[in-house]
Parts: sequence; C-alpha cells; structure tokens
Amino acid sequence: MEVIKTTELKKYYSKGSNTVKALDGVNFSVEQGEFIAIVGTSGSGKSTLLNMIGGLDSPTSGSIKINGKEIQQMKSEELTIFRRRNVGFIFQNYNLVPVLNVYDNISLPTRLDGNKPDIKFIHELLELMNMKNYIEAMPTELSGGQQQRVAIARALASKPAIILADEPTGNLDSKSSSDVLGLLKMTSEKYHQTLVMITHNEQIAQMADRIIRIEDGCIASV
Amino acid sequence: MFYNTDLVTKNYVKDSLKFRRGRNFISIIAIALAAFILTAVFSIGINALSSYDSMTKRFYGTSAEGCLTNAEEKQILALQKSSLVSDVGVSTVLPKGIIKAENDMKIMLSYEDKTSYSMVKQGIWNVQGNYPEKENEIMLSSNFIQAFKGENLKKGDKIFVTINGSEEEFIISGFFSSELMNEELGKGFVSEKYSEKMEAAEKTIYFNFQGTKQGNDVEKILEDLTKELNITKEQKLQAFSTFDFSQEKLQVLIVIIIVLIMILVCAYLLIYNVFYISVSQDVKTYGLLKTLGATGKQIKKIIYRQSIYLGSLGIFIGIAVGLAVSMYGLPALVNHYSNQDVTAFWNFHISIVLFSVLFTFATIFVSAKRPAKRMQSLSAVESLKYMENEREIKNKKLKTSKNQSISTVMAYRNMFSNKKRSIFVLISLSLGLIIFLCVSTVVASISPKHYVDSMIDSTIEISNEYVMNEDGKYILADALTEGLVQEIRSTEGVADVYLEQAVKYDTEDSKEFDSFIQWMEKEFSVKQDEIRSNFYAEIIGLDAELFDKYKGISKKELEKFQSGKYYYISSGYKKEFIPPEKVEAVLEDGTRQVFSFGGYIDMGIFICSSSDGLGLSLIVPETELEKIADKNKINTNSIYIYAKNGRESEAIQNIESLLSGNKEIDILSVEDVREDTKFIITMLTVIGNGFSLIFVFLGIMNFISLISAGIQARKKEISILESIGMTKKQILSMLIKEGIGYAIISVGVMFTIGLGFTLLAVKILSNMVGWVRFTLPPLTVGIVCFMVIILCVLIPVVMYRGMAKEELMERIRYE
Repeated sequence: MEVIKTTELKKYYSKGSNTVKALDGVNFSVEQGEFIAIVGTSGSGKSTLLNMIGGLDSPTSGSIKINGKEIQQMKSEELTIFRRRNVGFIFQNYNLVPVLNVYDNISLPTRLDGNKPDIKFIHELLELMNMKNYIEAMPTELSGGQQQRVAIARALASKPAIILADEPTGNLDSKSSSDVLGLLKMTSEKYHQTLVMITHNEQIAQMADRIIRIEDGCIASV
Repeated sequence: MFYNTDLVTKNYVKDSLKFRRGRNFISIIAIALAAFILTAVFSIGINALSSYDSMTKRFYGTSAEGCLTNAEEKQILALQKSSLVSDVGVSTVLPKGIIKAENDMKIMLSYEDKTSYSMVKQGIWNVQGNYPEKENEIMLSSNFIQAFKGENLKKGDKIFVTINGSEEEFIISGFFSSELMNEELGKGFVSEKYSEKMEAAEKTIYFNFQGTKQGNDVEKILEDLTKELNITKEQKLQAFSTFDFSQEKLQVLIVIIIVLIMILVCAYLLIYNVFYISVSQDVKTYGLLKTLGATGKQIKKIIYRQSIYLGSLGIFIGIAVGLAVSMYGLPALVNHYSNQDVTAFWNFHISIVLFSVLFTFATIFVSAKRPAKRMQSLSAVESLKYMENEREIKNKKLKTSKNQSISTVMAYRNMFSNKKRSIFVLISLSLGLIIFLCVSTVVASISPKHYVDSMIDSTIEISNEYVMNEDGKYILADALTEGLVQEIRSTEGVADVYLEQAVKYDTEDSKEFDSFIQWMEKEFSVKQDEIRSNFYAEIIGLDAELFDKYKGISKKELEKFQSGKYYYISSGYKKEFIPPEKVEAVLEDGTRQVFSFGGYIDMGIFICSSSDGLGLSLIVPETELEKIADKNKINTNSIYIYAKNGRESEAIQNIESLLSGNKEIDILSVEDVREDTKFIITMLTVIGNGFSLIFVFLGIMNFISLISAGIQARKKEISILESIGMTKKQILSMLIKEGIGYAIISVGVMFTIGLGFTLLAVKILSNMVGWVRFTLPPLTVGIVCFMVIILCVLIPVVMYRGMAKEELMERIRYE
C-alpha cells in the first residue's frame, strides 16, 4: 500500500529577479514499511522534499498524498494535527524543547493531541533507547547521541505511520551514528513504520531498502 | 601604511545603526523616557520644595527662623551673645504713616539693620533701587507705584508721608513687592539716620537657631531663651514654621526617599533591559567580526560607541521634553488656574540635567558592559553559536508533569526558565504599578470632598465677626439674634438650622487642669500664671440633633451626651492633654454645675470657644445649657444652616443676600471652601494622576521590551513545537498563560506590597493633614489592572502572530 505519493511536486523560490527551483516536478511513492534513503548533493532539494512530505513546507504546485490524503490543500491547523498524528520528524539538530525533561519531551506530541501518554510504551521506548535512567533529565544534561535518542523516542511515541529523519546522524560521532541508525532501523521494523531518511553518506544509504537520488530538484534515480 | 582602524569602527557603528533602525528607535525611546522622568520629577520636586520655601518666606516677610517682639536693648545684647541663636538682626518698627494718594493709604515703616535686611530680602521680591541710606530716603512697596492717579511713581520721585500728624518729605530710593501690601496698606523701609530721629514704636529681633532644627529641640531653645531673656507678657517669642522638622516631616521625607528610589530603579530597569537585549542580540555579529580579525578591544569600542550615539540622542530628547514640561508646561498650567505667578519661584537647576545625563549614561554602560564582557570571554566560534536567550536551566531534575495541561506546563516552565529575566520583568511591571497605586491613592485621599468635609459640615456657617468699638479695640459682635435666626429659618432653600450657643463660666484651678495648663503654656507660649489668672471659658451648648448627624456616634453615646451629666471636648485635642475627670463650672450668676468628662466629639470641625479666657471650653447639650443658665446670658456663637436637597446654591444665595452689608457677621459657605481648594486640588489631581500613569507606562514599556525580546529569542523553539504538532492555537494558549502569569503576579504584588506602602504613605500624610482620608480610586485602579492584564496577554500574541507569518522552516533554521 502506498503510504506516500508525490505527483509533479514543485517548489520554486523567487529571490529578486532569480527563481530558484528547489524541486522541479518530483514524482515518487513509498510503500508502507519501506526504509527509503534520499541522497543528493548539497542544495539538491532533498531537505525540501522531506519538509514537503512532513507538511512543514507547502509546494508551489503538485500534490502530496499521505495515507491517501492530499495534504497540500489542508489548512494550517488541520495540517499540524495531521502531522502530529501521522508523522514523526527527527531533525539533524535534535531540536528538543529545552524547558521539558526527557519524559515530557517524548510525551509532548501525544499530549498535544489531547491524549493521555502511553506510559508503558514510553518506558519501552526509553528501554530501547537505553535512556531509562535519564527520564527526568533536562536536554542540556545529555550528550548529542543521547539527545538524538530522545528525539527518536519522541518521533515514535505517538506511533505515527511515517518517520521522517533529516540527517539524523549529521551531528554525531561515528559510534553514536551507528547506534542511532541501528535503533531507527530496528524500531521501524518493530513497529511497522515507514522510514524516510535523508543522508549524504553512501554507507548509511546502503542500509535502506531503496535509495532515491535527487539532483537539481529532480529525481535522478530510484 | 597602517589603516586608521578607529575609522573602521566608526564607520561600522554608523552602518549598523542604520541597519537596525527599528530596534534603535525602541532604545532611544526607552532612554528618552527614562531621562524625561528623571528630569521632570526632580525638576518639579526641587522647584516645588523651593517654591514652598520661598512662598513661606514671603508669607513671613523674612527668612529668619524666629523672632522676639517688643524687644528691649538688654535683650538684644543678650541674644547677640547667646550661643542658642545666630544671625541676630533688629527691625525697628516706627509709627504707621499715611500717604495721601488717590485714597489714603497706610504705610508700615521700619528700619532694618544689615542682618535683618539680609533676611527680609528673601521675603520680598521685584526689588528695584537701593535700601535707603540718607535720612530723607524711603523704599516703598510696589502697591504705591500706581496709587496716584495719572502718574506712576519712580525712583528719585518725592513723596509725602504723614507720621504722627506731621508731613515728611522723602525721596524714593527703590521699590519692592511684599505680601504685606494691598489697596489700603503697604510697607516702607527708612534709613538708620531717620529711625534714630524717630521714637520707635517697638523693636523686633529676628534670628536663626543654632544647630539642629528638630521640632522638640526648637521648643527647648525657646524655653531656655524665655528664661534667659526674662520674657514679659507683652512680648512674644516664637519660631516660624518653615524649618520645623517634626516627627511627621521626617516620616514624609522617608516616604519621599523611597518613592524617589523606586523612580530611579524604574528608570534604571527600563534602560538596562532595553540596552542589554539590544547588545545581546548582536553578540553573534560580534562573533563574526572576531572571526574576521576584530580584536576584543575594537569590539568593545563598537559597543560603547553605539551606546553613546543612541544614549546621547535619547538623553537629549528626554531632557528637552522634561525641562519643557517642568519649566514651562506645568508652571503655565498652574498660572492659568491660579492668580499667582508660580514661574517667579521656578528655577533652572543645572544639577538636575547633569544628574539625569550621568545616571542615564551610567545605566547604559552598565547594561552594555555585561554582554560585552561575556562576548569578550567567548571564542569566535562560541560567539557565533551564542543564543541571546540563554536558558539558565539549573542542573535540576524536574518532576514529570503527568496530569497537567501541556500548555500550562510549558507556560510555567517558560516563565521561570530564565529566572533573571523573569525577575526583571516582574520587578519592572510591579514597580510601575506600585508607584501608580501609591500616587493615585494619595491624590484620591486628598480629594476636595475630604477637605470640604473637614472645614464645614453644614451648607453655611454664620458666626459673629470682630468689630472695633469706640475705644478702638476689637471685640466680638453679638449679631446672631433670635430675630435673625427666625429670618434664616424661613429663608427659601433652608432645611435645618442649628445653633451653637454658649455661656461664660469660671472654675477653680485644680490639679486636674495641670495637663491642660501645661499644653496651653507650650502651645501658645503663655505663662502659667497668666493662664491661671484668666482661667475662664465657655460652656457651649450643642443641639443633640447636630451631634447626631455625625457618623460613628452610637445610640449609647448619644444618650450619654443628652443626659447632660457629661462635658465633651473636640477630638482635635485628643492627643494634646489629659482632660480633667470632673469640672465644677461656676456661671456668672453663681450657679454651680459639675460635669464629668464624657469624651471627644469628632465632628470634623473644630469647635472652639469665642471666649477670651484661657480656660477649657466645655461642650454640653443645648437643653442642659438652657436648664442651668439665665436665658439672657446665653450667646449664640454660630449658626449652622443645612440646605434642602438639591437647593444648596439657592440657599447660599438667599442667605448671602439676607446678610449682605452686615459687617458684624461672618459667613462661610461650602461653595467658598470648595472654591478655595479647587485650584490646588485640581493641580494635584492632574499632576499626580499624570505621573502615576507615566510610571505604569514605564513598567509596561519594560514588560513589552523584555517579553518581545524573549519571544523573539524563542522563535526557533516555538517553531520546533509547531513542527512536532503544536497548533497555533496551542502555542497562543501557552503564550497567553505566560502573560497572564506575569500579570497576576505583578498585580498581586501591587495589592500586597504596594497597598502596604500606600497605606503607610497616606497614614503619614493624614497625621500631618487631618482631613486626608484613605481612599482607593477603584475605577482608576480597576482600569489600569484590566489594561495591564490585557497588555500582558496581547503583547505575546501580537509578537507570535507577526513571527508566524514567516515560513515554518525558515523559523526553524533561525539562529
């Protein structure tokens, strides 16, 4: 079942008299449970594509379907709600909320949805991430690798259908990178989630089920 | 060749100032506002104090602190040698003269010796010409200038003054203005040579006190002087009130100092917050400069140069506006409503300008110093990564918030994550609100209504006037006859008429009166022997219905009063002396009556006897008076007239026209009292409320700058929340809760600490001025609280809405 589908997706930026074509007619789809790696050079449009899929950015034209729903026409509030229920986003810079501890960071998307957090599941995630002893720690007390684990747990906590990861190991050392990737792959398999990850590292890309290459805003190879 | 690096920094500063116009505008406004407050408050305060001092000196006609009238030569010598006083000057008072101008005008002549004249000079103004030196020279008060029809007198003109029946010719040596001048009376100074020729009416010695000017110490000095100089009953030794630092005045000083400190802190916080934020926001840019090779010294120079440019402009604007308001705007407003030229006392004080400049610049440098220092200690790379909103989240594990709403948890955590900033926000807002509450409550507490209520309770008060008898002495008329009372009762608009009647009584001096006699001696500087030998007064009969009109009198008390067994005295005497337990009153016809002390009458008016005796006047029910005294011996001292509802003006007009031309009767109406106070209280209300609102504005400005900076700094964080699923509504809810939190805490502080301080201030004021009553202005306070809450909610919302117009990803990438 297609869980993500883009049709003639375009994103153009106007800068003065120049037009920058970040995405120039991208067509691709992702099946449920797939692990997709998006690779490309700097400025190729891979982050733009991921942001479009995650509803963090709006296309100039084209369509994006997530679980059969077209998201580009959704209003801001509707899109936000849709995103928190269906998408888990992992940023390169972790982007944890500094005023909340580990537990509150992880349970945040669920609580934003007005639901009671599944404490058992959160503990399970923390166990998986090897972060059980840090449940009340603040983000400033954690290392980069630990913060990224918390970010992964946050992305998984609301049990979304799709995990989007934008260079999740970009700011980590090799050991932490290896741990994080392993966790991502394991959890996506365990919870049957679709994982779309941006990386510029070929080795990491090889771990995926499929690699999508982007160049100059277009899909070069799938 | 070395490039001029100073020029580089100068150019950089100019370019950077052009680039950040919006932020610079806010900085300039903040500095200008602070400078304005400092300049205006201190200028008005100092000028008001010196005006009061000047006006008091003008009232007494001298800057001297005390005087002895009818002084003898040996007393003059004794005072000149006394260690208790200094600056002893002698005023030789000569017989009154008459100047035959268009109307006959009296002139009070005196010769002032050098010391006395130096003190008199501070009590007169518009001085032209010189003090008379030649025997035939005279210096006149300026009301004589236009006294002659068709010609204005000038220096050098001749003038004839009739003194002791003989006409003397003088040459005018100068003019001056004095409080002691009107259409019929003026003042004149003559030379020493002339005064030696004339027989002096009396000599008055003016002097200053040595050392401390505390009220109690002055009393002690007067006591010592009385003994030292053997003061007789024809002489009066007194202290003038300008310098009496009584206990209450010290308390007032403390309150004023506290308010001034609050003003300084408010101004300091405003500048500090705005500048600190402004510099902190540029740390990344400075980091960039560092990576490009700028030294720490050069960057410091840039920061301070920017501060000087912005500070100079802001200070200039603030001081200019402050001076315009305090030196011209306010006095013009006061002059418009009063018949006095207040600007005569208003002076420019360079010290105030210097203080404002120094204080403001010092604050600017202190506020720029910390981020500048921090930036110096950071490496170039660290500076680039610097987040201006450093979250000072302590290394402390926070309990998980399982059951609370997420937006409430976030709001609470955000409020106190940066403790320093939160405290600054709260202090800024709270201080402004505390000053507002204090000033607006003080203004409301000195409302015209309170003053009028304290001066007169009835609509009109009629009493006997002092008139001159055939022997040339002033005596109290007896014009309030039964017939007049009937006429008044039947006047249109009059509802009720009450009489204050009295009969003379004598009593035997006893130990019971000791406290009263000691008070009389101290209060009126009259010797005990004289008091005891004139120990008679009046029994005043008051209509019980009038007594009943005053609030706070219980039925039991009223019945006690009506029993006639007790005497009462005015509550104004409450702390002054201990009233005797029993008084045996002996009336003129020999009737004796014993009264026990019943209590004090708090009637808002000071009932005092019209008797010339020095005994204690007693208040009893009118019915009792009629019982014990011969009807023919009962005098009507005063008549209290109450108008019908809504017909006050009519009643006043009718009574005034009924009694017009009657010089034996004095009329005081509630309209007269209101008119007297209208000007000063209007001014106090306008100025007081104006300033109190400025402080609220200061506090709010501080709040706005801190909160908007805080939200700007959290731009990325807020965007991340959006990215993980927090809707705009939820974000707004969080921000609104933060705002409400600040508002509630600040308003809470206003109603606790602020109210406590306000109560203290009003209490001190009411100790000095009895008619001041604590009155909270509910509407003003309510509106301001509401406004503060609205602003605390609106500002974060407006900031966020502005921010949210930007694309989400752009905001997430914001550094």
